[in-house]
Amino acid sequence: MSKVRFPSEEWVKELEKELNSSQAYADAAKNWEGDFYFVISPDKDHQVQETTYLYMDLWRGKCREAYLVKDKDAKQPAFIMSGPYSKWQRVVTAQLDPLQGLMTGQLKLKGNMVMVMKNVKAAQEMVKACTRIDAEFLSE
Amino acid sequence: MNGYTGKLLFVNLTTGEISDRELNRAYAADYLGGSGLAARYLYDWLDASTDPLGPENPLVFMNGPLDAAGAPVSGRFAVCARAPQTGLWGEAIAGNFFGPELKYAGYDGIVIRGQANAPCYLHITPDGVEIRDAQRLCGMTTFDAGDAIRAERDDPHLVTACIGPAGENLVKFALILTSSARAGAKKGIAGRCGMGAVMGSKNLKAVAVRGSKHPLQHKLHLHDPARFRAAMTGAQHFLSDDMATEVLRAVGSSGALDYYGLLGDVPTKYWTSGTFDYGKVSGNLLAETILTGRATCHACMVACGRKVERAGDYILPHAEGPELETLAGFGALILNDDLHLATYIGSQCDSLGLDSISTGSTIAFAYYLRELGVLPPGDLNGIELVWGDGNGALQLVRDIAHRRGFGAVLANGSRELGARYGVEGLAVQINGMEVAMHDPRAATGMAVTYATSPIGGSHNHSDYFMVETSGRPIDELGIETHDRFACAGKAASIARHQDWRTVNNASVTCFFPNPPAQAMVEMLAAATGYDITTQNVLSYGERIWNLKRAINLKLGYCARRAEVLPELICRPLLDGGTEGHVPEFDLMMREYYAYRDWDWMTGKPTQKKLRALGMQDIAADVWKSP
Ligand code: SF4
Repeated sequence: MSKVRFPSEEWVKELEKELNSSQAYADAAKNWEGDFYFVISPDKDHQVQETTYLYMDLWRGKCREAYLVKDKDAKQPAFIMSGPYSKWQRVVTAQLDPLQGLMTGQLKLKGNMVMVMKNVKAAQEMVKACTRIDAEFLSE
Repeated sequence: MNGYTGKLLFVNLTTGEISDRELNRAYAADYLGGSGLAARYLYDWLDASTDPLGPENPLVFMNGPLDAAGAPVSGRFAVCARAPQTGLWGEAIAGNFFGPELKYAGYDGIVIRGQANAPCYLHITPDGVEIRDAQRLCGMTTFDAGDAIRAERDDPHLVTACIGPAGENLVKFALILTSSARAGAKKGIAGRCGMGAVMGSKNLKAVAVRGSKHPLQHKLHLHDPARFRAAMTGAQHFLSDDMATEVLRAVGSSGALDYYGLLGDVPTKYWTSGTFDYGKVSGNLLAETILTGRATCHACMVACGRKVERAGDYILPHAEGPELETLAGFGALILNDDLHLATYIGSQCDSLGLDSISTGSTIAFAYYLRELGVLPPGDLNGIELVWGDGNGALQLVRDIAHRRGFGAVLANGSRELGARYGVEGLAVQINGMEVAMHDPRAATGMAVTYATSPIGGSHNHSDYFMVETSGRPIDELGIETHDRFACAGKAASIARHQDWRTVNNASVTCFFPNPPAQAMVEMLAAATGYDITTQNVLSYGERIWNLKRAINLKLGYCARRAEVLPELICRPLLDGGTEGHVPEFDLMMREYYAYRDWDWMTGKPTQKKLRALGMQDIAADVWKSP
């Protein structure tokens, strides 16, 4: 299978598949309720020109839908996690723990912090799912 | 004196003598304030013959140059003395509003000597200082005693530092609790080292303080107010956008338990397991179910305090909820997954006046010894200690505070408990101090931090696990992040972090939120006029760190016997987030000693090091022939 570019519609669809076939994710995220925007913004180290919005509807251990959003006002998700491309690349390749990314200010999050702090294992399983995608990055 | 009132209050409870004395400016310039400045005074007054529970052990309350200046998270104070639990340097840091209020009353600190012949409390206002009768407060809880004093004096503005029954009964890990009647005030807990027992040994139930009611008189002289304001504004802006602020506000310190549990940081089943449903006893579940409000210390924009009016059927005094250490100690450490019960046991520790870390750990050790069959059931007077059932722990908390039944044995801590049954090595303590609720197998730096802490196994002199687990370096101070399991090459960062936290404990500022070090240093310099920069600030911390080591050496500290990692922490865990790792302790300690420029055999700082830190007189003492 050919590599899928990060970030893209194909990539987020792959992630949806990975999550929905992962028992470990289903168990870890069984209490998670809330959809997400993952916002990948340009940063000076890469060729990214525009901000990408990936939408994922995550609900009790499953991903109900996932796609790339052109109009950021199309949805009002419960959580918005944002950061520059280079930081996201490190997250989805498991080089930066998402919680560490938030605590160090490399990523920002809006949403219910209680839900986030309760579900750190779900975030870890999601990162593991990301690493199973054969992704292509701009720096490669 | 900029940043200071320039005055200390001296009280002798034996003679009733009360006097004001000028603050030693040279000491303040070198040791700043809080536990640093207290250490400099106590260095002169303590020696190996000082009985920690005798009238000759001075109890020192000390605030810092940032207290009452409005700097973020700066409303703290230190309370110091020779510690009854360890026989070593003792210090505890607490928040609430006590430190700033003492400053408003005109004092940088209080030195209490002697022993009253009847229970008393100290009443400090701008109108004067008096020693008052506390007979009717005897046996009261920490919270009730504070309320009773405010009612008796008809003065709701009094901020109190009280002991509970545990302090009166000289429990070796008795705490001092500060409280005030302000809406939304968070309790202040001076928990570690048994400072409550020192207070109890003096027959001193409480210190009650109120500053001037006139706002202009609150004005503290700062060296450069404009520079101070600029740095303060920068720090406030940073904190308002900081995720850690948001997390602490939403879920309190104990909201990290789910995450730390995953990493293996939370000691479980008395340090012998890595598996527990950590989310069942954590600040996150608490926030979703029983949280009724938030509470704060002076000048804090975080408000991490948890207000919990009731946990199930249990009513909590002053609605004060738990911290991380408390929920870990009465949760995972004894496999108790009942959040309500763990919360309530913690509130009983506060109320009866017990340090919840030492209490939880000593009780959990009893559970473990019971499981091993080392502790015969007959010794427990009918109390059942079964993993997962916290009711035995609740009963023991009450018995410890009153030194009743088996509680009288536990009241001396886990080292003595182990020694009683011939298994001292199994107690997870360092120098008699129960190790805090962060497992060095999950973040190896804590092994060195605990072993070299001047008070024993404490995280209050460096929460280096935070650097290791959050990945958050302090670049301007050369404090780096490393892989949490790595051992080699970490010691310098650990030592620098200890030095920085020592500056925090001298300033006196909270560890939870972390404004940029640059801003904190600017505020210190602008408040005091001292030439403090990010380049030299760690030398202040290092000087104080070495001073505390010198005090311990004076008190008989033997480094090679003392700096040992508890046996249970040296055993790899096959389950959980530590992934079988154990710290390479000897390697890390050798590197640490090399960085510190300490002599391995004696544990002494070298003469060269002490002289470089401007501590000529102390160098001469430390190295004088026996
Ligand atoms: S973060 Fe919490 S403990 Fe620290 S000063 Fe603020 S309220 Fe007090």
